[in-house]
Amino acid sequence: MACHIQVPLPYLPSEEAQAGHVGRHRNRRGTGWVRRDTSSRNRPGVLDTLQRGPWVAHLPPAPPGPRFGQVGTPLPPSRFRLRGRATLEGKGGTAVSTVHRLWVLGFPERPPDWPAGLPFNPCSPHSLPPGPVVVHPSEVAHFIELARRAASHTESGTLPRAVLYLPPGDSEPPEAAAYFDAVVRADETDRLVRLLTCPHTLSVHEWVEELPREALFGVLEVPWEHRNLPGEAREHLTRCRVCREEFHQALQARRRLLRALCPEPEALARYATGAGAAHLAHHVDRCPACRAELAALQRELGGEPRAVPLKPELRPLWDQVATLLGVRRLPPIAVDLSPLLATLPLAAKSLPETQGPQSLRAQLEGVRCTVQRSPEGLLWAALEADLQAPRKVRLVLASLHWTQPQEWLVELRPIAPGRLGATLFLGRAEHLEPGAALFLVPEPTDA
Amino acid sequence: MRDPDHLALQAQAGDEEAYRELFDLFRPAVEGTAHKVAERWRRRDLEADLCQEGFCGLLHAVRNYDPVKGPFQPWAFRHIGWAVKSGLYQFLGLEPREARAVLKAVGNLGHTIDDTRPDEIARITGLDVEKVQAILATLRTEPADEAVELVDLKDPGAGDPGLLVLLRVCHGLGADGFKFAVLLVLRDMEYGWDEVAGLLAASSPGAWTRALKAQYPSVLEVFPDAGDWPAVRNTFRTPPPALTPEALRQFFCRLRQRILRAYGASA
Repeated sequence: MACHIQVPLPYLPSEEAQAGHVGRHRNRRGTGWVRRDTSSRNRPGVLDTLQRGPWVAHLPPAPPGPRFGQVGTPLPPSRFRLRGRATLEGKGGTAVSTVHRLWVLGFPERPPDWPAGLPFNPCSPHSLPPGPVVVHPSEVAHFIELARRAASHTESGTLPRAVLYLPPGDSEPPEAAAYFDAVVRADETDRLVRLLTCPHTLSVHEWVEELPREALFGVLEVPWEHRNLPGEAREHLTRCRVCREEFHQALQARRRLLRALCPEPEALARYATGAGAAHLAHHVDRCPACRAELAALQRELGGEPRAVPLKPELRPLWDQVATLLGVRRLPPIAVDLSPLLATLPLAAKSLPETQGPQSLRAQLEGVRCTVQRSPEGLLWAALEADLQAPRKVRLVLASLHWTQPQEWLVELRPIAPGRLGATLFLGRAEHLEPGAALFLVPEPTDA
Repeated sequence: MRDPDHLALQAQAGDEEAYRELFDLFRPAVEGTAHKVAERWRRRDLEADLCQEGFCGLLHAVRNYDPVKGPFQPWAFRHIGWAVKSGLYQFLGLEPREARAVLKAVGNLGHTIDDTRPDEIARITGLDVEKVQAILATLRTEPADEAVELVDLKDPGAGDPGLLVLLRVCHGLGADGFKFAVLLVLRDMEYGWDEVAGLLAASSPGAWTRALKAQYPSVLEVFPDAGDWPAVRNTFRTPPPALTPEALRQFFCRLRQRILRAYGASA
């Protein structure tokens, strides 16, 4: 039976190799090395692979002639035991190692609750072996030093695969977060077994990072079939239940992190009613989760204008205005004009600035106010009211740095059967600063 | 109608139909809560707006739902009640967190709003006496019924925006947390890993500081140095991670797991 090993990566010679315990063979492309380990303390006939690194330059040239693992060279099944077929992508891809072997570092002895089926091979304290390493907290500092050294010898600069094992009472050292793929407590034996049974499980979180945002939210029934994932990863995930479960967890983690960056639902609700900030348009356009939430809000709120509460950030401004004008009650309508004044921030793929909102709306007690910005940067306020609403409305345009707010007393006149209205020119947007606000205070009828 | 727990998980994965069903399922609860609060504070004019706040609370519940912590329905009710009351405080011109703290302190002392002492409340809440006086004055002048509910529903942990909580967790990880926050923003701006590596090695994203101020103010709040791109690059000079796409991706994924563990514990 022909066994095709696609392992284009070199092998870092270890002390064992130098002592003659390990045989080295060219892979089938002739671009790297495959190791056959014959040392007595390890399982015989297990192949190891390593990530690409500059140490290939230190290796002697490959001897001529075909070797095990080269293209078209059949491998004797009795001598090589492979756990499935997997490959390693080249530079920029996601690494998938072929054969799995586990090492431990810093353990004074085998812990009593160490899973029975899991190997326990202490590794050399001078260099890191090719497989994933389970590290005891007492040796974290030493491991970090070894991992840094190993990373500095690779082209990609990636750190070795490693799991931090926490005995009861120990906690994660904050400085070690970047050096471990996972942290497992002593009582989490199932998790330790799950992470280390398949050689690819520790890579799954990095595979998920390859998925675009659209693929994370509800489009694909089977997200691991997305074309952004390396072919071998897709193939492996189809077969390996353990990695699929880890993939789902990684997917959830990535979704959760992305959602933390989404605007709060209150901001989406304001956006749904036409009062959102400019950058929300860009975000909603590219975030499927926010689009789904926005659709639900728009269905529920009907896109109708709502009263805008006096936000805490506008309270100091209103207090200042109220003192100057001698007004005691809170304004029923306060429109934060910032969204109309701000420019859209640049991002990697930002939309043209013209796609930001050009109007804000608010309503209360039968009075509706729409503030519009024309393409020339002129700001207009349009008021509409029911017949039962007060006929006169005081509009106050204010900014924290103004010594005197601008004030208008507007009388609403019939503009259609059963409707009153008025239009007012507020000024040029460029003359206002972010944080400016328009307050509306209905006046008593005899005012 | 499907099971609310299942619907919530489907909605988390971006299923619009699941959102629609959840809104239908919880509409009576949202409208009932808004009506009850508006009635209690004699602000019937705010009922529709409090409904809007209630639906926002439902969205918070979906975002933060973790089936390990229990069924969705009671979780959603708590969020809806919390959001409706927050909306009310905001309409009264109060900062919900402060209003809650004051009301909770008054309730714990067994006092009423009218007979409590501002200095005592200020000592308990850590707020200024003037601030407490202003909050109490607002609550007193509002034409609420006698039976004002002093003790608020249990805070479901949605007081701070999620990003701010997450960034505080990052802050606890020192330089690694700072690097993670920068990578988080760059990835959210849709830079690929090769582009991120290029930016950190030799150039700068366009209008970085302006974009941070407008879109990610929480990042600047927690990491003021993040706005200074040369300082950001300087921090990345010391690995890990090396400035290659593979190493940056590995670093980001490892930190993400660590930070989400701590974030989950704090939320």
